[in-house]
Amino acid sequence: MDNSSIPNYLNRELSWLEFNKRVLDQAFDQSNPLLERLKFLAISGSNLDEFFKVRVGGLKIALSNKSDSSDPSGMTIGEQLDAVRLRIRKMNTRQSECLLDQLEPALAKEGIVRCSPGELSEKQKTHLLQYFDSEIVSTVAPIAFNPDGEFPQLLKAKIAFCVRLKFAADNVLAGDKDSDQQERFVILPISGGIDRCVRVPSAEGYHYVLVEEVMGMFLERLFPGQEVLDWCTFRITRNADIAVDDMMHDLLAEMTQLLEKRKISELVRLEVSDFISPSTLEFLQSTLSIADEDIYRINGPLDLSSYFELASVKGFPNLKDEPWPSQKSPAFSEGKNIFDVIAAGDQVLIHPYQSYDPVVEFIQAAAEDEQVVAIKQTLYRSSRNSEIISALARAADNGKSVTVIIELKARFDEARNIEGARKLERAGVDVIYGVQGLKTHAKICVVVRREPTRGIQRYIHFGTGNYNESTATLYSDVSYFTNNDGLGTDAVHLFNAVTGMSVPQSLEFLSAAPIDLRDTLLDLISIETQNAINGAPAAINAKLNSLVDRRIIDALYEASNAGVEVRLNIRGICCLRPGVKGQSENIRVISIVDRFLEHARILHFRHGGDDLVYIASADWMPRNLDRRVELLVPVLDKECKNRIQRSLMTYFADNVKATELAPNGSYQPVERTGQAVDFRAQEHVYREACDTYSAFSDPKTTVFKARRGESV
Amino acid sequence: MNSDSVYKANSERRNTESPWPVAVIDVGTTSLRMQVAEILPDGSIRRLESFSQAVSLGKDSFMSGEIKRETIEDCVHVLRIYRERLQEYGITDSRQIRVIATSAVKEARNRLAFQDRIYIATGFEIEPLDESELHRVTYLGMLPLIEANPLLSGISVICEVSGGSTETLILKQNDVLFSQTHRLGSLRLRKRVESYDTTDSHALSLLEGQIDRRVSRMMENFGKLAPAFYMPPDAMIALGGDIRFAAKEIQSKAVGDRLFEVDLEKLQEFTSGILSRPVSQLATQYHFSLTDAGTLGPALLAYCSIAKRLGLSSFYVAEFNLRDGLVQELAGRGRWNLSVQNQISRSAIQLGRRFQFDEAHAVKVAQMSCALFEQLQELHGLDDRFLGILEMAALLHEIGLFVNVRSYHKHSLYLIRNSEFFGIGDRDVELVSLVARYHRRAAPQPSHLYYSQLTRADRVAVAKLAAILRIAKALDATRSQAVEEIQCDVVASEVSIQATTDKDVSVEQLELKSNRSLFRSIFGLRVTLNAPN
Repeated sequence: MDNSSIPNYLNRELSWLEFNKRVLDQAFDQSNPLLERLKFLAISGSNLDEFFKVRVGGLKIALSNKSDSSDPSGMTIGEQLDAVRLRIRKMNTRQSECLLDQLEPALAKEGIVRCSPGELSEKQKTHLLQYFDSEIVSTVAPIAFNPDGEFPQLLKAKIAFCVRLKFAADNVLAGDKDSDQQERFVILPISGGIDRCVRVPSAEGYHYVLVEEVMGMFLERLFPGQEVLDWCTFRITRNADIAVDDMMHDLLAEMTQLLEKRKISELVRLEVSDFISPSTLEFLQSTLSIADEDIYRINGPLDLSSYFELASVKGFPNLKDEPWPSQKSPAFSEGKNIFDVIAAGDQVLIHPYQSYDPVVEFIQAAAEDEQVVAIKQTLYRSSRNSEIISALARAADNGKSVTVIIELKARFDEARNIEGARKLERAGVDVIYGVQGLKTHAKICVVVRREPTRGIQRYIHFGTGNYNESTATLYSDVSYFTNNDGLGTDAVHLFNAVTGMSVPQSLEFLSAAPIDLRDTLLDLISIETQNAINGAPAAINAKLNSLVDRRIIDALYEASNAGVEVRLNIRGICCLRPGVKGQSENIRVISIVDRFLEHARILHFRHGGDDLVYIASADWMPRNLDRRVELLVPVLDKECKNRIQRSLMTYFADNVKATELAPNGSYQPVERTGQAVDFRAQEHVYREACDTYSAFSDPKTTVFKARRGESV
Repeated sequence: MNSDSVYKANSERRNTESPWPVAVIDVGTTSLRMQVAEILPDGSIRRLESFSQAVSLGKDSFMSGEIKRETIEDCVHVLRIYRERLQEYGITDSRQIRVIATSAVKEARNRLAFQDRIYIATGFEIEPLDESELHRVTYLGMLPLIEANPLLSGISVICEVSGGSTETLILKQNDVLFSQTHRLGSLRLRKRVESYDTTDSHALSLLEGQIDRRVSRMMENFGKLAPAFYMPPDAMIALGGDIRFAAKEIQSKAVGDRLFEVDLEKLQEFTSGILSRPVSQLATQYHFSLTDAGTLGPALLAYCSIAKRLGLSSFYVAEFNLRDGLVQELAGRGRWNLSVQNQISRSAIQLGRRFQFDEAHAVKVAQMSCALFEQLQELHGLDDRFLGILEMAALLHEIGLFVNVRSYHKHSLYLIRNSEFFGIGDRDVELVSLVARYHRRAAPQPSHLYYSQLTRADRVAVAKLAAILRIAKALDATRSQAVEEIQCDVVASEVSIQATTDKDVSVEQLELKSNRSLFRSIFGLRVTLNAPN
């Protein structure tokens, strides 16, 4: 491609939508088991919800602020919104097709059958009636709509009903003559606690009816003496991109208020079922005062994200992925003191192929260990009933000095983080709510021990993933444990800076955003460029979730022009346009959407033969490099470095789940050369983790233990 | 003079098997800094963690002569945080912590109130560090670096421009030729510039002129007071955070362990870049506090001016700070260790020569004093710091003869009191002068000037040291250095000194009889001298 006519960058919103298309493609992919396909469909739905809350919300605010700036790809905000909406409408159609035309028929063949009300037996109907009376009635609260009042918030509702009613002629409550002719509307939110797919008794398999259809069957029971003219389901999505006023002193209180605000913020989307009656639509549109372009008619069930439920139905192993249980790591075998293990040598774990347990155990051990004096930890998105939070609280209880930097501003996890923060504060933990103006996204835990012979020792866990035990089984991330003194000093200095104990001290090994992370990256890239110009071997391999930052993209273009071989594995947004002559012909971008969410950020720079390997918490986006506390961690130990580098390179060999970014911004399956055999990176890494552990635990390969005098 | 046997390692104060965590806090002009470190069993130092918080001590002190109440409370706040961090490390014993203050505190009228408030609120005892002590600490900290680096084997000028002053130390190899403090401070300069009611460029040229005048005065002193100094020196070593920062920014090349070479021209270019930009912009770009951003330019300008005046086109920047030296002192190998003591003695001998003292006699008396001090350790119970004081007093006890034979010990007192030494603080100089004063005639009495103002502990120490000095002086009564070595034994109520000599020491024995009464009244022991013949 010639670069004179096209912009140098891809639009980030469209690039994100491309990513969601790749997720949706997995739902169409017949090589995936059926329930996994359904899960990908659900993911594509929940992704889209978040996209509306954050990105579309952001764009709409920018538009209303009359911002006339255009993005690096040259699109104005209006153009972006138009393009995004168009793209999403297509995507909605595909989603419905996927569900109705492909998954439902295929699932039905396997015994997972969606029944429509007309097909139900009497027995099934009786069952549903009971269910309706006992489960649904108690949780739905019809909200009669007063045209002057505020529209109900419907925050917790997955979907809502809009019912058009008319009083029956003989109704004593009907009042005067005029009003009994009037139609009225009632809103019925369906609470999040109710199953989306209501199971009905069946001889075999799994038969279900969608909850909205159950509601539809028995609606009139809720409105005695009134006539249900029609009903339809709808969903509203509000803008969640509301900035927190960081200057507020009590951040905790401020965040709680924000959650309230989010409920009533501007609408960015109204989804309605396709069969909506014109009068209901008119009612909703006028009372919500929402523009035509923000209304999406869905030809099928709304809220696909609630299909996670059905995708994880019990049984049907043939419709699910073969389990890939997390493997133990040979280094962290039972009975060993975890600190001795780390002191003996740096350790790397690749999750979820390798178990996350050592990370939790690391913190648990620190809570109990006599020699531990302090624990310093960042928390971004913690899990419910987090064992890590419990361990930290216990550590404080045991008299350790525990400092936790908890990010209240982690989007959509605020509520859970506030809860965790309160628990820690009660236990006597020094809880720091991050740095003013910055989100703390770095993933680091430092355990300080005072050892009798080695003095103060720092044991550090650096991660690419959040300290969240539940997502750790689904996200592919890297853990790096080390007792390295230099990294330890840098780590405590980072904590001191973030907690306001000290002005930032210069770091020897680590690079931190917003201080020097971007500069370090630019330096590392430019060294490759220089090396290539000087004829030395030069290469950049990186795995990220997103690449948006313009200065980094430009540096990569420069590198490409100098002849540096650049290979990028970017799961999500990529604004870099690869394969353009005179700009990026040496850059290849692939993306892998597979069973586990690719989340690790790993970088490799040839560096004239030194092969520098880093793990990072940061994507290459302006927000990560400028407005967050992020870390770039060099992996110093040679073996660990090799292992991480090897796993990084594995992805570039994938020819099953990998797609490649074309210069036009679309993604195509990677080209297969000749008769290449199937190579699926995630599977390969999993098998390797299995082999590593079985080689260790297999008695045949055990090193013989010689018995000497003293042990006999 | 100082045979190795004279100085033995510091008294055991800890289990040497395991690392010993220590901390030093530097209450500086623009910030409160803390270094936490561990002293390893082999005596080496492992830095663990450093802290820095901006405070406006210098601004208050240099502008109004007084530290403001808010500033005091800011310091309290920061020091409380530091105290907590130290607890985490188990650093709670006062022997593990040293808190020093430099010019901003020393120059404040309300320094005592400041020190008291800090002590009450945090338990930290702030020790204002004299300039000469500052030089000692710097020297001590720099010594390993100088000894390890062949580039620094000639005459080198060590200088550090800080907020309140510029310290210079001139070395010949690892010997101190001269040390001095100049009132050329980056914060003082910044405050001066801010007080000018003029355009930026004019203020800048005024600033340059001011720095240059001070530096040229500095250079005059070098030649006058250190005869062995020559221009251009073989090396200049710049210390300080500002210059370290600049060295990094202009990508100076490493020329040795913790040593970088800075090209003057490049630095000048960088400096004018810094000076031409608003302070707030520097603060944002480099993540500095506003104060630090404000003093960067003036400090760099001063370094440039010094290098230029010294006739150098490049100089070295060392990765060293005051806290490193203080940690080394805490390591106990420090305060009175051999090389530092050597430097201190050298500066005493230099002073003695200026007053035409009998060097051979003074050195012999010093040697005898040290031997007595060492061998009678159990008797007097004083630590090594007093050994240094005694040695200085022994070297200088007779310099008053230069003024007049009559009451010369009193002349020695004021000459010593009013002289500058390398590496020893005012309080210790005072003790040296008093020990010298009491080497003859009247025993110390509460009515005596200066003596009466000492604390009880110091009064007792002075008396003990004077008593020892009197014995030592008697041992060279003939000024012929007849006694080579001595061996002391405490038997019953007597200290018996066995002299190694092939000469007649009967004069010394006689002299001892008339000089030993102070010793007896203090220690309750009679002293006798025995010789082979």
